[in-house]
Amino acid sequence: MNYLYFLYIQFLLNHNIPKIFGDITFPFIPFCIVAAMIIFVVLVLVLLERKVLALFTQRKGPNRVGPWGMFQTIADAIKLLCKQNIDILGSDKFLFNIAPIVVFVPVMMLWGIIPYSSEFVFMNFSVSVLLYISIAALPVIGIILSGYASNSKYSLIGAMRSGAQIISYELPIMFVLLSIVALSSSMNLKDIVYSQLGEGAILCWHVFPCIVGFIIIFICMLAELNRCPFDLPEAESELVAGYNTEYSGMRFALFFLAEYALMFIMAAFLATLFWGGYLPITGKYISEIFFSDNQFLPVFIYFEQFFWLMIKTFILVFLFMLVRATLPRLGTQSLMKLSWYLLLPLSMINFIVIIIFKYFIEGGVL
Amino acid sequence: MNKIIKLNVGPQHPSTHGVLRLITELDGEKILSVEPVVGYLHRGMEKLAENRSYLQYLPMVDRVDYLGSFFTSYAYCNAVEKLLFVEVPKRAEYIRMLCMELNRIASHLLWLGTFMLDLGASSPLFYCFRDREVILSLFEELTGQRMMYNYFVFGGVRHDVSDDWLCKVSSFIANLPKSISDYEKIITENPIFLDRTLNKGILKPQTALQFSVTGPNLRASGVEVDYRKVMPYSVYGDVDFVISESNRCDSYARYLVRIQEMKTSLDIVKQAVLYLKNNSDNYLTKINSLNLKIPEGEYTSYVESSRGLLNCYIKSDGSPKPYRVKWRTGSYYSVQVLPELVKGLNYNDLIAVFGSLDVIMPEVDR
Amino acid sequence: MIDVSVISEKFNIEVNETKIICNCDIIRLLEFLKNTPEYNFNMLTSIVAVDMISGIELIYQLYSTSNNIILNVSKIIENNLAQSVVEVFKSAYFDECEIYDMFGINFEGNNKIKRLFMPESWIGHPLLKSYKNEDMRLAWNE
Repeated sequence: MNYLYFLYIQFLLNHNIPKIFGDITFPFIPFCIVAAMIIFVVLVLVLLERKVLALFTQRKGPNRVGPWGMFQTIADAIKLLCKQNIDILGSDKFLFNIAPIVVFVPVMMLWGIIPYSSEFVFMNFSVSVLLYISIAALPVIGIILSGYASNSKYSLIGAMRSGAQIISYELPIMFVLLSIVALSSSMNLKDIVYSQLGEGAILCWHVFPCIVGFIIIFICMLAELNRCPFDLPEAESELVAGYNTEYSGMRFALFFLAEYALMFIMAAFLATLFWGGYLPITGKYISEIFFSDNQFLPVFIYFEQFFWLMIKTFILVFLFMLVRATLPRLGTQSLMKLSWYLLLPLSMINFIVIIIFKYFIEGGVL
Repeated sequence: MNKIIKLNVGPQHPSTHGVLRLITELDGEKILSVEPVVGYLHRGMEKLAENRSYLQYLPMVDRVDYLGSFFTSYAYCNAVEKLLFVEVPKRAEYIRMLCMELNRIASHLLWLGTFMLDLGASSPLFYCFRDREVILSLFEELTGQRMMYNYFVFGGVRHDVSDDWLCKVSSFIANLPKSISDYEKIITENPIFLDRTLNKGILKPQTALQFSVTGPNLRASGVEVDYRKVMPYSVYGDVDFVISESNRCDSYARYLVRIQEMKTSLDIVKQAVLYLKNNSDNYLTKINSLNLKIPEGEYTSYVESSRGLLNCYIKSDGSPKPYRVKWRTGSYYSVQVLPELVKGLNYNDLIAVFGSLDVIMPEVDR
Repeated sequence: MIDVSVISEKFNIEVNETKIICNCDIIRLLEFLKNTPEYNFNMLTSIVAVDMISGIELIYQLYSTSNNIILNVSKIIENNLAQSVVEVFKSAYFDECEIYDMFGINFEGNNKIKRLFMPESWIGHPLLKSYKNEDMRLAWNE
C-alpha cells in the first residue's frame, strides 16, 4: 500500500495540494477499489457458477443475454435493483432493514485484509489472521437479525440453523488456523505467505504438512458459507429460502452479494494460508524472465502476484462448485455430529502433529 | 412461553410436489405432529364422468395422474372392456404393456430426480430428465403427445406401432442400464445420502397394510404384493419378471425398490418388443365407441401403477353415461401415512421422507 | 369369488355375483374377515360410495395379501349415518372424509371427520345425484 500512497501524495504535491488533504482522502481509494472489485468479481462468479453447474448437468446455462450469456448477471442485477422492496407486515422495520447491511459490511472488511500482492494489502495488521476470523464470524449476526425480524417461521428456523452451524464450525477452523500460525510463526498474512517461499516452490506450501488441516478447513468453509452440502439455513426444499425468504429487491441483492463475495474471499483466504497466496506456482515470476531489465519490473510483479492469487482462488471456487453439484444436503443432526465428533478432535490432533513436526524441523525452536 | 411452533408448509412451497399443505407442529426442529390437508388440486374427475359419455371421458382419465397417464388410461379402458365383454387383441395388450412399462420408468426417473432435489442434490434431477426426455420423445412419436397421450381406446390402441419405433425403443433400453448404474454410483453409497435415508421414515409392514399403502412403498416394507404378478392383468401373465422387494422399511429401501423396478420394467419392455417384432396381429377390436351400449353392471380394474394400486370402479346403469366412476390411487394413501412416518424426526427429514413416498397431488385430489 | 358359506353362517349377508351385501354390523363383519386366518383380509383397498337414490351404497373393497383374494362387501346406508371402520382399518379415515364430503354421510365413531376436497364453506355434497350447484357466491354458477 505504501507504493500507492507514495504515488498519490506525489501526485497531490505536484498539483500544490497540501499533504494533510491526501492523508484524509487516501483511505477512500482502497475502499473504492474493494467495492469495485466485489461488484466485478460477484458478477463474474454468479455467471461462472451457473455456467459450471450447467456444464456438470449437461445444460447450456445462461446464453441469451450477450455473447455466451455474459450480461445475464448484469441484467439480473438491474432487475434486482428495480424491484420493489416489500415491507413485511409485523416485521421489525429497523432490524429488517439493517440486517442485510450487517451481513454485507463485515464481508467487505474481509476484502481489505487479504494480501493480493506483496504491495497490495489494504489493512496490514500484525494479527490479521485473528482479525480475519473474528470479522468472518460477524455476518451470522445479520443472518440471525434477518430471521428474527422477518416475522416468518421459515426465516427464523433458517437463522437458528445458521447460528448453530457457524458456531460449531468455527472451532475446527480455529485449530487449523493455529497450526498454520505455528507453521509460519506469524499471524500476519503477508508473513504467512512469505513463510511458504522457498527453494521447493510448490512443495513449500503449507498444504503439504497440513493436508488434514486443509481438508478440515475446506469442509468448515463450506459450512461457514452455507453452501451445499451445508446449505441447511437456506434449504429450498424445507425452508423455502431460509433467512432471506421475506427479502426482495435491493435488500435481497445485498444478501446475495455478500454470499458470493464471502465465498470468493474465503477461497482467497484459503489460497493465502495453504497454497502460497500470491506466490507463483512456477516458483519464479514470469515477469522476471520477460521484463528483467524494465524499470517497471516491480509493478509487473505486483500484477503477476495478483494474477497467481486469482488463479488459485478460482480453482478453490471451482472446487466449491464441484461439491455443490455432487452432494446432497446433510441432515441437521449429522451436521452437528460431523463437526463436534469428527472435525474438532481431528483438528486438535492435527494441531498437535503440526507442532511436533515444527519442533523437529526447526531443531527445537518454536 | 410456548415452545411449540406451528408451521404451515404449503400449499405454495417449493417442494411439496404440487399443492399439498402440511400443518406441522415443531418443538425446535423436532416434529410433533403433521396433518396433511389435501384438495387444492381437486378437479372433480368423478363428477365429470357422470356428465359425459364413456368416450368423452376417455381423454380426461389421463389427467388423473399426469406422470402415469397410461396406467389410468389402461385402468379405465380395462374396466369398460370388461363391462362390454370385449376381447382385446393380444398385440394391443402387448403394446399397452410396453407403454405402461416405459411410463413406469419415466415416472420413477422423475421421482428419483425430485427425491434427490428434496435431499438437496440438484444434479441428478437433470440427469434423470435427460433420460426421461428420451421416453417422452418416444411417446410423442407414438401418440403425438408428451404427457396426455389418449392412446388407449376401448378394444385396443389407437394405432399400431411401427417397426422403426420399436427399434428406437430397443436402442433406448440398451442405453438405459448404463445411466441407471451411473445414478447408483453417485447415489447408492453416498454417505450423506445414506445418512439421510437409512432408518428414516420407517414404515412397518403392519402399518403399511393398516394404511393400505401399496406399490413400491409396500414392497419396500417387505410385503411382496405386485398386482402385475398376483392378479395378472393385460399380458403380464405371459412375460416373466421378478418382483423387487426389500425388508428395510425405510426411505433407503424405497429408493432401492424403485431402482430395481426400473430394471424389471426394462426386462418386460425387452420381452414386449421381441413379441411385437415377431408377431403381427390386429391392434384393435372395432367397437362403436360413439354409441356405446354398456350393459348394467359394475367392475373394478386392478392396475399396478408406478405409485401403487390403481383401481377404477365403474358402475353402469345401461345409459350412455357412466353411473359412477371411482378412482383409487396409490398416492392418496401414501399421503395419509405420512404423519406416522415422520413423527419424532427432525423437520429436516419431513420433506426427505415425503419425497421417498413418491406422492403426486393430482392423483390424490383427482 | 371365495367360499362365503362360513361368513353366511355367522352373519346376515346376501351374496351377489360381484359382492356380498351386508345386512348386519359392518364393523363386526370386517373384523371377522380381517382376523379369520382363512380369509385374512388385511387391507381395505378403498371404500366406494354410490348414490342409489334410495340410499347410499358403500362398497368396502378388501384384499388379502397372504391369500391373494379380493372381496367386495356392500352396505346400504339409508339415513345418512354409517358406522366408521377407522378402528379396523386406519386407511378408512380419508375415504370416510371423502364420502362425508361428497355424499354427506356422517360416520359414527370417526371423530375428526371433515371435508377432504371441497372447501369447508361449500354448500351441498357434489357427488349426490340430486346435487345442483346453487351457491350464489360462485360466479361460474350454471
